[in-house]
Amino acid sequence: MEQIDVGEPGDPDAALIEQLRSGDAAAFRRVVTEYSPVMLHVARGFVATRASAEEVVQETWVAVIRSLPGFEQRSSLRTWVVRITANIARRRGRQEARTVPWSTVVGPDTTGAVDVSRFRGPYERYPGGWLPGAEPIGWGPEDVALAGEVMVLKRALAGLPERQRLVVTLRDIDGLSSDEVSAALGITTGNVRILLHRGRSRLRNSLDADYRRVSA
Amino acid sequence: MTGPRSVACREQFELISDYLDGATDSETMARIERHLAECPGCVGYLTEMRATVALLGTITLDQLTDDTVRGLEQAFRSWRSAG
Repeated sequence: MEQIDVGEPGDPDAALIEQLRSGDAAAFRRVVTEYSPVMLHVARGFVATRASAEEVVQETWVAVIRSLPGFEQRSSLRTWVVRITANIARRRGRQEARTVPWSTVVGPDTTGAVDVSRFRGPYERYPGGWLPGAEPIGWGPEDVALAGEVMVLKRALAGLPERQRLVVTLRDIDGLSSDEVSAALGITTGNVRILLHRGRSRLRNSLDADYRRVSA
Repeated sequence: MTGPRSVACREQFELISDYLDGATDSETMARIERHLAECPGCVGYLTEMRATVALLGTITLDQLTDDTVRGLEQAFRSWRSAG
């Protein structure tokens, strides 16, 4: 997935920005379609409902339209739009008096993401290695695609602790970089990586359980 | 099988997400790769993690409602005609 770095000048955006500034409605529709998913996901980091998130995104697009003439392209267009989204969402979240507790990463989702009983104990031979029968077998994307695993994955994603779900969504579905996720959600890149690791591990576990079930 | 400088499987899996993203320092990366060279289980885990991330990349989750998009297009058009 294409990664856009924070702070990169908007050269790839130049044509798009020109079209938007000249009132090209088709270009506007394209950018709304392309950016709104990640904007909705960012908004959900700060507001309680899907409906609120949609209103945040709507408000953001109006702000973008108004601010477009003054946009200096010191970052990419998407980074700029995501930043505005986060600011509006943060403000709205405070008004709604509900925020995701980003200030601490310590919580119920801090347990190790793989069942530790799958590893050998410290006093066994080859301590810390995979136990026989629990060793990953290396199923690949073609295996999981054939087994209809997208639905399993979506269900597992919905079942993740909220902070893990948000970070995995923004990184691996929306393709934001760790720096962009960190900036949008107001957490350190270290915490982004911790949440990403835990979320990805849990998703991998769900897919693994399903793979073993269907191939048993 | 764990040598004195390699990373036991349990430790390894804590690092695998960073390794996948190229976010480990070169010394840690070398230790991980030494371990992978002798541990099919961890190679399997890395493969599965890559497949999970790849599958995530194919998912589209959310989109605005058509009504909202139409409203925004209207706002865009009136902004253009006023500008």
